[in-house]
Amino acid sequence: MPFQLSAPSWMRSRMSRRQVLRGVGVALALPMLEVMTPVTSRLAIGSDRPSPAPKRMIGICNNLGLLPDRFFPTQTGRDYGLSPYLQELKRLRDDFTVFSGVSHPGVDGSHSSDVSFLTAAPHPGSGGFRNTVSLDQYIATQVGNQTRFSSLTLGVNAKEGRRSLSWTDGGVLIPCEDSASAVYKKLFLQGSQAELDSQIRKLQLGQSIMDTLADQTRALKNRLGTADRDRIDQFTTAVRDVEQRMVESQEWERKPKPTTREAMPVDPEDKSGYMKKTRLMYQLAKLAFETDSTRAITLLLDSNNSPAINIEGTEISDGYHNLSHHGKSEKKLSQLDAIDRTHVRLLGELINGLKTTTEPHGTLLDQTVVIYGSNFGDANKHTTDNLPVLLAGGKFRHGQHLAFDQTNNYPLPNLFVSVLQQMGIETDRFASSTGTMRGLDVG
Amino acid sequence: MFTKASAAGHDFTDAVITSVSAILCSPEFLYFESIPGPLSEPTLRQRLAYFLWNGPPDTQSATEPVTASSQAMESMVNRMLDDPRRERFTAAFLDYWLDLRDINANTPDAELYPDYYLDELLTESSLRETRMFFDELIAKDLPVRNLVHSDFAFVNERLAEHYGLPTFEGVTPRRVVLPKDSPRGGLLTQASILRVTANGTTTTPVMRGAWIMERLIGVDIPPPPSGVTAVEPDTRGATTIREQLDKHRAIESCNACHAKFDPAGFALESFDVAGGWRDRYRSVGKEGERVKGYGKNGHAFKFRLAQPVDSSGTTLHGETFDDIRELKRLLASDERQLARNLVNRLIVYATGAPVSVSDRIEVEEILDRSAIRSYGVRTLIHEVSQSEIFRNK
Repeated sequence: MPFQLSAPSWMRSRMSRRQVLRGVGVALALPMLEVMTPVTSRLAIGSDRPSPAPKRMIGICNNLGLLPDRFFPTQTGRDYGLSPYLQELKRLRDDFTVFSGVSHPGVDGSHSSDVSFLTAAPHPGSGGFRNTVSLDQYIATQVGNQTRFSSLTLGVNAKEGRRSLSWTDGGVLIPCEDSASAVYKKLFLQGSQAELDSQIRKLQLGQSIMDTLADQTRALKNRLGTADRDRIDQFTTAVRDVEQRMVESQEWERKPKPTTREAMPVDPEDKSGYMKKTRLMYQLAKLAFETDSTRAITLLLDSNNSPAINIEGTEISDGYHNLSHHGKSEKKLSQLDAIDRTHVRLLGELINGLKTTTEPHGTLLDQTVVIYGSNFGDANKHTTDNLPVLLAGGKFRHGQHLAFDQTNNYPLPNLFVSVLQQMGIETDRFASSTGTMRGLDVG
Repeated sequence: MFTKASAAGHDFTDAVITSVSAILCSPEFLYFESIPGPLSEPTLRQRLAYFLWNGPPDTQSATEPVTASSQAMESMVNRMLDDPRRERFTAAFLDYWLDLRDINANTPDAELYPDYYLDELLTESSLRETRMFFDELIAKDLPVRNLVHSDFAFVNERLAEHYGLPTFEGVTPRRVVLPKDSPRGGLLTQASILRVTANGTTTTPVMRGAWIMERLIGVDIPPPPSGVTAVEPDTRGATTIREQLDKHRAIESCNACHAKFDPAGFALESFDVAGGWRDRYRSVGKEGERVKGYGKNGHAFKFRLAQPVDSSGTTLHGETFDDIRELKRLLASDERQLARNLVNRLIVYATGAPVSVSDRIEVEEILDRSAIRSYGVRTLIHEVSQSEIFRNK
């Protein structure tokens, strides 16, 4: 397989020069290397101290959301009555917390708000928008060096190179991996010695490219004034990022990958296999955590980019986006109901799968924080407040509906701060947070 | 890079791919470099080529001087505008100014608009129409007011049918003179614009109105205040969007901003999600009469024609209008503002920098000089290329 830097979709389609320039931050989207890895922690190898129980996080965003009046419970607190959708999770009611009245301050922009779901960067729809670091990438910079992959960015039908939940500190998008079988290969398939050698040589070639770029960029910067230097700052940071990761990749290349009894998944043929793809991604996420291949995963369920999808037992008559604009049509609402319930059931499978996997330190669910939600509070109205958010795992005291003010929403980034602290990362802020999540206790 | 790769034992393909990757990622490929201040001849020629051709200068334009005299620049611009490569400018400029690149971001709803569903020809034709229309304005130096209303349009068989014009055979759009009372003519009523300002299922006067006022007229529209409950679109047929938006007029604090753009949006309610004329809203509820017909997917029409469309309104300045025809006459009256907006857009596109406060004086001078030519679109492009703003960074 010839070596190539990740070719974002815009390079393959006929794009005007302007579009190229516009996407230059995306151009250096981090390469889809066989191993995206960090330097092995010098603390972890050859240390006699038992390593502390690894903590994980998975962030999932369904970018067309769920019907709000069927998702949000009407009662609040601990003994709240489960909403119609949450009935599907009734056996897990003590393992999750549902939030209402939360959103990211300043995040509007309709469909473009999905890129801010894990970053909380305001006004994602505005011209000249530059994203900030996403929750998973922040975690990756803190603990990513302890696993082969500092993070995994997954997607279902994600518009390639254009939509993702994972963003680097420099505002560069990390492309989503859409193929479950490709993820499986990344995690478990080693390749022969010859293939390994070839891979390492390719990484070295990649490093040569980076060296050349770094030289050119340095020369360019010397010729520029300060204002222009700022302009190419994003580019230069991206070059440095990629260089770093290539060095780190080589270190992991020779280590044996974990094995698994699970067979390699078969990818559904096309985008209509949305729910099958989702289930496969959840299964792979659990495998990745189980084998400690990574500690941070994101999954973008790009409903907006999906056609009429297959739902068992229900005929779906229109593209997902058109359905979401239900205009109160009974026909569309009943189809959305079937779709949404499938979403919730699959989430239940994920949570239950983590819960029934035991580890030396407890269950996998205890050690994994699951954040499920959407950038849309109501896709029919295109509102980005009152977001549906569900939290599971991580040893929080679950089993409640934490309701906040629906007219003046509570900042969702506060949840991210609580999650980070729970993962043992010392920080008291993330993006536009004002503190930790009020009412969410550790148990 | 190629030599290094080959020496390291990589085959020809890998070595070439490596070299090409390096070129495509190189800052010298991705960026235009220029120093603040007056641009040198070569840099100016390059800027001109990327402006009008969206590509590098050819041998002639790379060597012919443009700063020597205004005639030199003028003849260069004319040559470039008459060259087929100018089409790249039209496509790119309209893609970004009018959001035409998003034309496939929404699709007509299968139930409400089965006659548009899967109609790729309509989508393609709409795109071509707008591009050819703009090309014509440039080719013939037609006045900028044509952006709001023109007495001609570019249609092919599909669009003629769509617009209710006399039909003929053929897919290539051709220039036709519009009947005197036709609502068509100008950008506002073109299918492509009406498609990108809707969502495939419903239209909203707020979105269309704000878009028209901002993109075509150049009015500054502030974002909505937070904490306002969004209107829930209802396609069951009992209410209209106009009724739902009544608060915009009834409440003073809402009206302050909404009066700037709602009226244009109400006039455009006469057009559905793909730009077809409508006197009544379609619904999927039980109200209204059924329509006979079959969609491209083979299904019989299930939608009904329900509430009537009310496209009347009052502008911010208190002028009333009954429909889109009257609104267009009102909007087209301030030609200088239309020209100002277009000049600003051209400057941003051509220089990659916003129009600063200090640039505004020169913009007014450009408008003064263009007034004699009725603010012809070609004239405006010439003026921009001759300006100090364009010649400097």
